[in-house]
Amino acid sequence: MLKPLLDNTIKEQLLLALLTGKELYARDFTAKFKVHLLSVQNQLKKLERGGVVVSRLEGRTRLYSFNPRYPFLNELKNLLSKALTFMSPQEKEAYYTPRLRPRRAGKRL
Amino acid sequence: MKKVSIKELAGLVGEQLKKYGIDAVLTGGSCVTIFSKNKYQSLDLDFVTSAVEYKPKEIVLAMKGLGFIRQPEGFFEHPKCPYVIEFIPPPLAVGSEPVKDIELIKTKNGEFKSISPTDCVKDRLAAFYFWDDLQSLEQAKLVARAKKVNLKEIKRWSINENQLSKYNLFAEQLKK
Repeated sequence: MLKPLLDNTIKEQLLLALLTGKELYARDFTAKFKVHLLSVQNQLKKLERGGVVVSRLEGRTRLYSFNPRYPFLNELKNLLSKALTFMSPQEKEAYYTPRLRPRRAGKRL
Repeated sequence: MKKVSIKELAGLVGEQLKKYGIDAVLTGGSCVTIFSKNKYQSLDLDFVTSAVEYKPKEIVLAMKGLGFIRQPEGFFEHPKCPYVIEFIPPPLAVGSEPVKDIELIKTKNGEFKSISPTDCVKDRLAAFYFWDDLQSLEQAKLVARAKKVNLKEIKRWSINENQLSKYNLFAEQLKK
């Protein structure tokens, strides 16, 4: 949807996933969107270098989130939110409705 | 290079960049070091420049002239210098506002552009506001105590960032 602007589908998916999920890690994203880990890591690296996202280590996992200090963050979120409204409910449900509540360890899906 | 101070190195880099027609502004922790007269020691120099997007080869050449080599991660290192130099693409901003007040700092090695002490305090406060980073709060206080800063402007900016209560905490601690 925003590919003409962002020039990259993975980047668009990453930004939309960050908007709806608050935090993400590359492997989880890769499994969900069926894309190559290296491509995801490259895009995250570019976004981080540009100040759009920040990352932190939790254990051995690098978690990414929007950089609250990015000066165009509100405008970017508005654009992404609008893009989400054009998405089909099925697509939104499949990719951009993450489970945010906790899940007890060992509990079956 | 081994014993160069962060301020002298910034002057050296600023002068070298000028030779290559590159305009860059120093920001981040190294400004805290410079403004607080080394009460806080940063080990990296962050320059914001549009040359990252428009003249990346010139940056590499200019830095090579000083003995700094670009690393795979993107930053520049010198075998004998303890400091790491990074070039960051624009915008030069603190929170959601652009930085407009740029200072020209002169050193014996040359001059370089830097964000002002007031914007340096805002920059550090932004990390405290958004991530509750207490080290950044301490750095903001160091700069505000060492340099003349515009507290009225910092308060206005903090309100604009919806962070008045945290600004008040900073202002209160600054008085102690």
